[in-house]
Amino acid sequence: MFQRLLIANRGEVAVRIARACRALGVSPLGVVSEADRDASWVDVMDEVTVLGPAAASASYLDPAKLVQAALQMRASAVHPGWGFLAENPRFATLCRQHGVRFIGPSAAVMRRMALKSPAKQAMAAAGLDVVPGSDGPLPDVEAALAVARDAGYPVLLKADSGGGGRGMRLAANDAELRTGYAAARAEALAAFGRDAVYLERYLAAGRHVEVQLLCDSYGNGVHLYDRECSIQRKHQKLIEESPSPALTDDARHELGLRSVRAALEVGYENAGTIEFLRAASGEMYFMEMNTRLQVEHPVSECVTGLDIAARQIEIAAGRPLGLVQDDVRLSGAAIECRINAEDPSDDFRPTPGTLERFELATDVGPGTVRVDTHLRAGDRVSPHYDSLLAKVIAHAPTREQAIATLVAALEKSDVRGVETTIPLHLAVLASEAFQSGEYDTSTIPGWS
Amino acid sequence: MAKRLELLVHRDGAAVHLACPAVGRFTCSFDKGRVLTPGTVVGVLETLGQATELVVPAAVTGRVANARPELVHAPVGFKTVLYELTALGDVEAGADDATATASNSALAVRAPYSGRIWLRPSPDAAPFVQPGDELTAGTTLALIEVMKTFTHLHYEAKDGLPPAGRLARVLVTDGAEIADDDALFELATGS
Repeated sequence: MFQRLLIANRGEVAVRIARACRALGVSPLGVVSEADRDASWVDVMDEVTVLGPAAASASYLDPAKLVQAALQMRASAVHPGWGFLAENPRFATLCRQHGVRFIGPSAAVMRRMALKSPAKQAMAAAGLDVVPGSDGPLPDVEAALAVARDAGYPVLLKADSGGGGRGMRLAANDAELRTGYAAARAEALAAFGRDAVYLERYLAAGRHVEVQLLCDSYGNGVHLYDRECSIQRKHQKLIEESPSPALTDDARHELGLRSVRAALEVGYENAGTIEFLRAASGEMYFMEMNTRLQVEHPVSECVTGLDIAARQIEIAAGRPLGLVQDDVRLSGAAIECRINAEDPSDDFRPTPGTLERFELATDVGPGTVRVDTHLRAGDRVSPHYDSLLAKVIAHAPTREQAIATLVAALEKSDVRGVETTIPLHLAVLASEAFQSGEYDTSTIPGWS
Repeated sequence: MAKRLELLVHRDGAAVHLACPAVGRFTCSFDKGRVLTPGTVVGVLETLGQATELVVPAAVTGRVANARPELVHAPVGFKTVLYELTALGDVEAGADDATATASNSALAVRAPYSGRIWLRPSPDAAPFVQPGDELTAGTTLALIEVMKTFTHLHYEAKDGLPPAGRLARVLVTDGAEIADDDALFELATGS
C-alpha cells in the first residue's frame, strides 16, 4: 500500500478521498490554489503545497505543477478526484513518466473513452447497444443526410470532443440538418478546438441510468448496481438515486453483468461508470463511460456497503478485488441531493458568500443520513470554483422511507448566508412524479 | 539558456518579501547582508527536471535581512517566501502600477459582485468595449465568471451613472479577479 498519496483536487472530493486514505492508513497530501490556502477543509491533509493563483488553469489544472508537488511531497500515488484533470490522459501519462501511480485506468483507455465516437465503437464491439447513428465523425453534410434518413428523424448532432451541451444541434428534417450541421461544427471548433461531429437518433423522454463498476488489475470486475440520474438541469445532475426505479430486478442484474463484461473487454481498470440512456421503449443505449470516481458515488456505497474511494486506492496499489458478484448485495434504497450555492428562485444564479449557519441535519429517520461536505459555518464559499456545498444522502430499507428521511433532513437543515438549492430539492421530493418514480430528463418534476 | 522567472514581491512596511512564483525545488541562496538589485539571479527552481532561474524584478532593491536558510533542493510552493529584504532606495513607486485605479471624482461602472472579469467574448475576439466607445443602457461591457457560470455585464444608468457616457479607461485587465464594488470602467467626465 502507498504511504503517501497526493489528492490532486479541492473541496468536497478532496475531503472524501482523504477519508478513504485514513481508512487505509495512508497519509493524505493536499494541494491548494492561493484562494484555498486558508480554507478549513485543508486541515484534513497531513501536508499541503500551494500550486499557484486562484485561476484553475494556473493551479488545479496544471499537470506539471501537480506532478512536481507529488514528487517533492514524496507521494507515490495521485488521486485526481473528479473534474479538473480526472479524465486527462496527458496527466495520467505524466504521472507515470515520473514514477507516480495515477489512480484510475490506463491513459490509453482514458483516451479512447474521452472521445465519443471511439468510445461508442469500442462499447458496441464489447456488446452494448448504442444509439443508431453514424460510425464516428461525419465526413460531410451528404453523409449526415444519409445517416439521418437511415436512423430516422429527429436526430441529434454532437461534437466528438464534446460535453456540456455545446456543439449539439437537434434536427427534425433534411433542411434543419443542413443548417444544423454547419452550426454544430462551428460551435464544436470554437469550444473544443476540433470540428468533428457525429449524429445519433434523438430519443425524447429518456432516462439517465448508469452502472457503477470496480475492476482490478487481474481481470476481475464487479458492478455495484445502477444509479438513476434523470433529475438534471442543463445536463447538471441534481438528485441521484440507487437503485433506479425504472428497472426491474432482472433488468438491473442483466444490465450490470453486461456492463462489467464490456468494461473488462476494453481493458478497464479501477472504478468507472457506464452511462446509459433508457429510451421510453425500455431499450438501454450506451452513452459514455466516465473513467473516474463520480460525484454521486455515495448512493452506491450506501446500498452496497462498499467504500468505492478506498477500493480505488487498493486497486491502484495492486490488491486484488477480493469480491465476486454474489458478494455485492443491494440493500434498500439511497437518494442523494446536491446542495449547491445557487438560487433556484432566481434562475440558479450562483451565490458565493459566507456561510453564517451551516447545519445539515443527520438525526432524523426512519432511515439514516450521510452528509459529504468540506464546509462549516463561518466558511467563505469562493466564487472561483463550482457551487457544490454538500451532498445529503438518505438510505433506508425502501424508497418511500428514503424519500421521507431526506425530506426530514432537509426540512430540519439550517443554512444561512448563501441561497441554496434546498427549496428545489424539497419541491422535487414532494412531487407526485418523483414519488412514483415516473420521471425523465426532460423536466424537473415539482419545479417549473 | 535557462528559463527565467521573476520573483513575486510582497511589501510589508519597509520589509520586502520575495516569494517563489511556482512549485518546485529551490537551490542556492544568498547570505544575510547581500544587496539584491533588479535582475539579480537569486537561485534556481527545478520543476520536473527543468531549471528556471529566479530573478529580482524591476523596482526592487534591498539587503537580505533573513539568516541564510537551508535551501538546497528545498521543496517550495507558490508564494513561499525565499528572501526577506530591507528596502534600499526607492522601492515604493511604480511597482504595483499595472492596475490603474479610478480617480476619486470619476464616474465608474463598478463590479456587481466578486468573480473574474473577461473583456472579450472569446480569446481571439475584439473587446466588448474600448476607450472612446459610447455606452448606453444595455451596452455589453464584459463577462463576469462566478462558479464557472458566465453572466454579461451591461451598462446601466444607475448608482449615479448618466443614461449615456463615453468610456475613458478600462481599469481591469482581461481575466482579472474582481471584488464586489471594484471600479471596472471609468467614464469620461463632462461629455
